[in-house]
Amino acid sequence: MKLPKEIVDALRIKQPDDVIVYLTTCSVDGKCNVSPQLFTDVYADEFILMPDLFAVKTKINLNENRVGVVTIAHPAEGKAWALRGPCGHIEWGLPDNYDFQGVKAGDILKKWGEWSEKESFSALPPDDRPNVIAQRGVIVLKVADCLSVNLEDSGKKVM
Amino acid sequence: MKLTDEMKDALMIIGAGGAVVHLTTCSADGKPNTVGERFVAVWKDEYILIADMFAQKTRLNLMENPIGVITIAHPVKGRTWAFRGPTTMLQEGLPPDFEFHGAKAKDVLDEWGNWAEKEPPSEVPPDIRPPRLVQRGVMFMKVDEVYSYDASEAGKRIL
Amino acid sequence: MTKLTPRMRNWLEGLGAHIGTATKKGFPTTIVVESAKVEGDNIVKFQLSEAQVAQVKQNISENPQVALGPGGLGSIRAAYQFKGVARLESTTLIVEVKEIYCTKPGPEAALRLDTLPYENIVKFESTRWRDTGPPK
Repeated sequence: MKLPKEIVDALRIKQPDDVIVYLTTCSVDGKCNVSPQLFTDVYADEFILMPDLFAVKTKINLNENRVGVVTIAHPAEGKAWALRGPCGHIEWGLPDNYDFQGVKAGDILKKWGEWSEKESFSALPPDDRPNVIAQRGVIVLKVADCLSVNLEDSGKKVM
Repeated sequence: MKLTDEMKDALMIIGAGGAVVHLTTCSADGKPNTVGERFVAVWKDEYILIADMFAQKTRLNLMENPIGVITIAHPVKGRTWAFRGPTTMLQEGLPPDFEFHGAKAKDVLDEWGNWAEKEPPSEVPPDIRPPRLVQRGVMFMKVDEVYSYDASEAGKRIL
Repeated sequence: MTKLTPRMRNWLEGLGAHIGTATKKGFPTTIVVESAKVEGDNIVKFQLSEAQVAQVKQNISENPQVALGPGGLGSIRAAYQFKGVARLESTTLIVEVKEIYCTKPGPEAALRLDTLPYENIVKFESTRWRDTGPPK
């Protein structure tokens, strides 16, 4: 699903800490994990990308159940979307032609494998900044559904 | 408790395939995880270190239940030892005075925080060499007891 | 017994949470509620809209496991994740928190807090964060 410009603009790289999202994943038996993500970008208008920096349960969940939901936590005004779809992680070491939902590992890692080259981690506020960044790869969510999270129409398909 | 020279030799084999151990941890409600680990060392005669490269479930377990068992996997050569004791993850970014069972995180990481310097990946055979070393820190055990896992005397206390 | 600290309560009550739910087979649905009420040591109550109830009712009935990430600025400043079991009473989602994790980016990401003595959790917080809740 191609995302409208409004959503792409909200999620693409601008300034560090400009938008914080939650990535919800769950184990194959339905135990949820809601993980804050400080860095996001968009590829080909339909894939949401996040660097794999400290994902632990997220990766364990994605290893057994490849689906996720991104919701915008801050600043959330006017961005009441839940973006759901197949979600996986593309790690360094995968062959370049490894394919996840139409994207190739080589293409993703070449451009986003060193996220700090695109977005400075050191610009984050000291309290929120990890001391050492060790990127393992990139988490990729292909948006298949866009639902509202507004109180009055929560769950309604936006697109 | 001080490890014997024989034990230290078995745990620290640089190059030529090195030593391989299994590290067993478990969740707070007792679900075990046993995983092979390649980058092993001994610190100050009584601690065992393992490079944290790809830990997922191990990390989660240690975050909620900081104890582990290390068993020699290869080469065994009659060294059927199981080392048990409090275990944690030491990582860059911990408070400077963070201490674990008598060891300062900073002292350990100053020496072993960059494992590739000590044991270049090129010394690891290509078929078991990680595609990209991204070290987060070390898994760190204070050995409290050593017992045998030899079938004929399994559980017998050695140290 | 899991016990939320005053700081956790303040952030949850002030800014609510993103609430992850899922089917028993692991298909997730996240809803967002902007405030909450904490009762006792570990009960968090969220007032849902009819639309939200409709969205998660089936999930909660077949799989009561939920995860909560503090809302708004809490997503970064209140770096916790709460896991527990939920039930619906009319339009109130009642979550009994059973597990608390630190999600602060860095070496303590995924650190489980509820397995520590309560005093140690409070001490942990006081050495990592200066605030005691969201800005007024």
